[in-house]
Amino acid sequence: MVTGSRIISFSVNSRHCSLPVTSREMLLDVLRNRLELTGAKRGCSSGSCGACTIVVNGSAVRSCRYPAFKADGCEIITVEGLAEIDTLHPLQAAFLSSGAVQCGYCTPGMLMSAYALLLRNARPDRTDVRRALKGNLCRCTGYLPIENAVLAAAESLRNQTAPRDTGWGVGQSPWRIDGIEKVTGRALFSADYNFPDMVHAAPVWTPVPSGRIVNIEPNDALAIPGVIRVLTWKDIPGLNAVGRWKADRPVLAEHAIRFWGDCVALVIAQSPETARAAAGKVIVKTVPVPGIYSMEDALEPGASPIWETGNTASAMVVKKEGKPDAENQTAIVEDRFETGFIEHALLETEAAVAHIDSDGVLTVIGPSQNVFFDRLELMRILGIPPRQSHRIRVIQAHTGGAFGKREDMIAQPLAALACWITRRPAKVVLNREESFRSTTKRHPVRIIHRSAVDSTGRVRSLEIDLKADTGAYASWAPNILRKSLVHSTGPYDIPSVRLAGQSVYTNSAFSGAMRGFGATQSLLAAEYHMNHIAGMLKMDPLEFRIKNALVNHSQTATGQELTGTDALPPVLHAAARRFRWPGPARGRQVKGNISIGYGIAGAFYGIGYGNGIPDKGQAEIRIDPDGNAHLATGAVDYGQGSSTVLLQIALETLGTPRSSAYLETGDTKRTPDSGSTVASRQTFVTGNAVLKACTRLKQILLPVAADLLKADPQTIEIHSGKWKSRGHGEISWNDLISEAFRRNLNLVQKARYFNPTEPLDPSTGQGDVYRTYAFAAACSEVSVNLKNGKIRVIRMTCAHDSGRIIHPELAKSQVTGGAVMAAGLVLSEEYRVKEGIPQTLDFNTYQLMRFGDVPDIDVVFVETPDPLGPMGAKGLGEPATLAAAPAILNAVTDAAGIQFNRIPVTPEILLSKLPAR
Amino acid sequence: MKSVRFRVNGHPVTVDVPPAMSLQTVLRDVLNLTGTKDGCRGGECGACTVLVDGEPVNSCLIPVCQIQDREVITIEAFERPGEPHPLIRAFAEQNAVQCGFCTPGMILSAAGLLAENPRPDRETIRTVLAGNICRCTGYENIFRATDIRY
Ligand code: FES
Ligand code: FES
Ligand code: FES
Ligand code: FES
Repeated sequence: MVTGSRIISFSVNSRHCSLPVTSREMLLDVLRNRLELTGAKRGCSSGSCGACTIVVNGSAVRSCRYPAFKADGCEIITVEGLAEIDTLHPLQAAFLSSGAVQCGYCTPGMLMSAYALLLRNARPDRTDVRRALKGNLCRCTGYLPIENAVLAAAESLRNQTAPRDTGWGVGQSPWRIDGIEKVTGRALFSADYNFPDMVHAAPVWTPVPSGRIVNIEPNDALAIPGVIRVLTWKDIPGLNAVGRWKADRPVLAEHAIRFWGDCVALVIAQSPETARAAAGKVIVKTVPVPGIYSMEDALEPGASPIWETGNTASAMVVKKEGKPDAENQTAIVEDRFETGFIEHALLETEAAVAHIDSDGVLTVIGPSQNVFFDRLELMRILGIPPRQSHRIRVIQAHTGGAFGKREDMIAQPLAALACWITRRPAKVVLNREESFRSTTKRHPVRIIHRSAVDSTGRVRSLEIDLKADTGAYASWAPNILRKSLVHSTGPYDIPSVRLAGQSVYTNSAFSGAMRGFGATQSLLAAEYHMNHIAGMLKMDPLEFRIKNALVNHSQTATGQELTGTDALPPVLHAAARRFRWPGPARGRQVKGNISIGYGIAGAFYGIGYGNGIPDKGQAEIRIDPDGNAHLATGAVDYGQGSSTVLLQIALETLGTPRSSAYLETGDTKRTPDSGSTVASRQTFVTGNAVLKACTRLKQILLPVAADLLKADPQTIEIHSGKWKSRGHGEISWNDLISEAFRRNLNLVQKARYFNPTEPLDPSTGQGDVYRTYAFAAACSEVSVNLKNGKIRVIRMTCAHDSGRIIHPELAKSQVTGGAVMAAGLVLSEEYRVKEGIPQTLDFNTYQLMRFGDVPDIDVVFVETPDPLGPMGAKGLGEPATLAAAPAILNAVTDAAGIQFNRIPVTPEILLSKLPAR
Repeated sequence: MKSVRFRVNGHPVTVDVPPAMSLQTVLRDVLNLTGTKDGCRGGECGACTVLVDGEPVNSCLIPVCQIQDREVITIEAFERPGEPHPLIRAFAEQNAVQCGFCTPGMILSAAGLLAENPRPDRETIRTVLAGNICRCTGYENIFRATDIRY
């Protein structure tokens, strides 16, 4: 027995356990590490996220802060204990029916908090639910689907019923395909994997935000029993760099330290505790180099260069000359808008495991947005030459959110190195502070607008100067800058534009992809500016927007003519109607200290990579002899729901019953490359590939069905798992497939869908840069407390034209999640960095919207089928935040009566700007 | 339960197990070293062969308590990055592996022999490997592989 430990006994999910624990061990450690119950998740270890919630003697507790010895004699229920064998608890079923599960990382904690609530209150109302779940964070759903699920579960418990799964047709909302695993705690996220004889690695971080490494002294660490090795850059067999566009970020820093998130060494040990303790004993000697912590300083003439190429990562222009309009009197309106670093705050911190499988293949399991990119980079790091990709396999684990952050790997290279060098399975799990300090952020931007407006309220020309802070490394700097600039006019038809963008290196942090890929900031700034103009003209913001809106056949800033879409007006009108937009008659309403304001905004978003970048989706469908349809695609789903949507498209096309279909994704060995799950592209691009493969298979099956039905193939329709022809009856999937096998038909089909676009002209920035655009509009009502500065979003309407909606509940959950993320962006979130040192490294200082902060959100889909989309669908993931953010900001402006040209608008900032009353 | 201390492939280990538990079970089920195979548990097939203090033994027949303070080598010790171990290379090059189930035991028996007698003649090889059954290769390639001295 370990010294200082004592034996405790308790029951977990009705099983008796008795084991020695130390006084320092927390219940979460015991459950996850010793009892292998990995359903309860770790999101922070500080009691502030709720992912680790379990029920002890009927009460919800945060197991990360609950000393294990206190559980002596207790009865514990974890998420694994909710379902009875295969019958889900009504809460679990309701979560699946209500779209309350996306990435699923918060789900176990949410379920257990809700379970404890229902134990003591069979008739909770919304307020009860919000109060009980306020300690549980969710980054994906925007909480409302969860609230609905808990209320629905309470009702079904009272009526002794349970929510049931629906049909799988397009337009229905079946339970997501990974749903049962996620609500039962069986879904394995990266940190949940364990292998025999596994080693654990912990990073050693730089002690300064900018400097040079003089010496790394590992001896004190190596002296600790259980420490196996301390790796530095010298141990990296291949290229010491991560980065798809530019391999510039060292896995382990060599000489230069460029920001606070640089990792300088990796300690490998027998246990995670030893690895961490030893990491603290590695002495890193550095000489400080003065850092550059603002874009202004970086661009000063004579500023010391962070990279040999200078401090500009990327620059571009977009120029479109419209007809000059001399007759009309014009007013000039200028604005300047700024944002700070924003953290994705994925509930799952970065983690990965690597092992060498029984065929000698290095297998890396981690979160991912593209397993093929990850494989390429890992090969480079390990020195595996090109054309030997079979030696490494990357598998996406269930991924606790992504929103762009998973495009830049961090844990995977470390785990892969540790495994490659020790030849033992290896695991790396970053803690919350490490996640904050080392991973990408949303680019801070500074945008200057200058518009010329004519007397009718049309914006005739717009000049924009946009600067984005990419931090120490490039990540996708030029691509993000492009998306930012292409969307920076907002969804408006402006005859003349001159847009200039520049992405700048600093030592403050490290910026990369985040939901909206730069367009979030530029659209927010554009709508701030448009609101300003409407206000100056004393026009209703809605009317002003309609007047300038992109419509069918208008030209975007890059000169691309829109076709086959009604573009912005339908979503603006839909949002305004459902919201009951107060119109020109509205005015700021102040009652006591409370002022109410309204905001409206629109957005557009190019779907797919764009700019001529090869944008391909691939899918493979195979019918097994027992009739099982096996669909495979490399497209990863990290919660947003692409897997479910892709399977729906396949089932709808082939009429295969759900019980006979299976989808495999995100595995370099078993699935075809389908590009990254980014740019809101998977439904559109891979959806088209799935549709194509399934349609080919259908063509093979049609003659068989026609023979069996004795009907003309033209007359055959597929409907809920049956192939039928009017007057000729129907046949089942089983009979159809049996006959097809009897005829020895080829029932394996692969398809590739290519989404062609044009690269922008480098000197003018003109071209058909995206194939299709999604449109969004939002209205919001906020209240501002003029005395204490508190801002509350009361209600919102979000209208989206993302083409046909395949899965309404998941789509709604995307939109509410996006709107709540937008509210955080505008009102509370900022990753503050002072002279290179981050000030917000936990969920107490980095404030996310919580359950209680959430407004009512009304979601409207304007389903204009897209002629190019699979079954008319486009993309939704990113558009969900784009219009919501400016709608909230404009409402705050309206309520406060002053403009805020920097986000977030926190209560302190609001108060400091309010005129003294 | 008994606490038994020994070394496996150079690493010290201590296991708390019933004293009569076989070394094979300890290796496979307690230490997760599943390279050592389980073909009969009766000392007849040789699939479980490991070296104890350099001596090839059927690990299924040895109670772990007899291993106290001794040195065990299993097939896992033959894995190394870069250049393969000469015996592994010989087995691969001579096509001495088909299904591969007998292979770990064969390699350990061969290694034990070669450590003792670096230049055994064919007859010795046959005699020494007689305790290892192979159902696939017909043995010839295995003998040839053992005969090669890199
Ligand atoms: S892990 Fe326990 S509250 Fe976050
Ligand atoms: S579903 Fe809640 S954090 Fe992802
Ligand atoms: S398993 Fe030991 S000789 Fe067969
Ligand atoms: S190779 Fe199959 S038993 Fe020997």
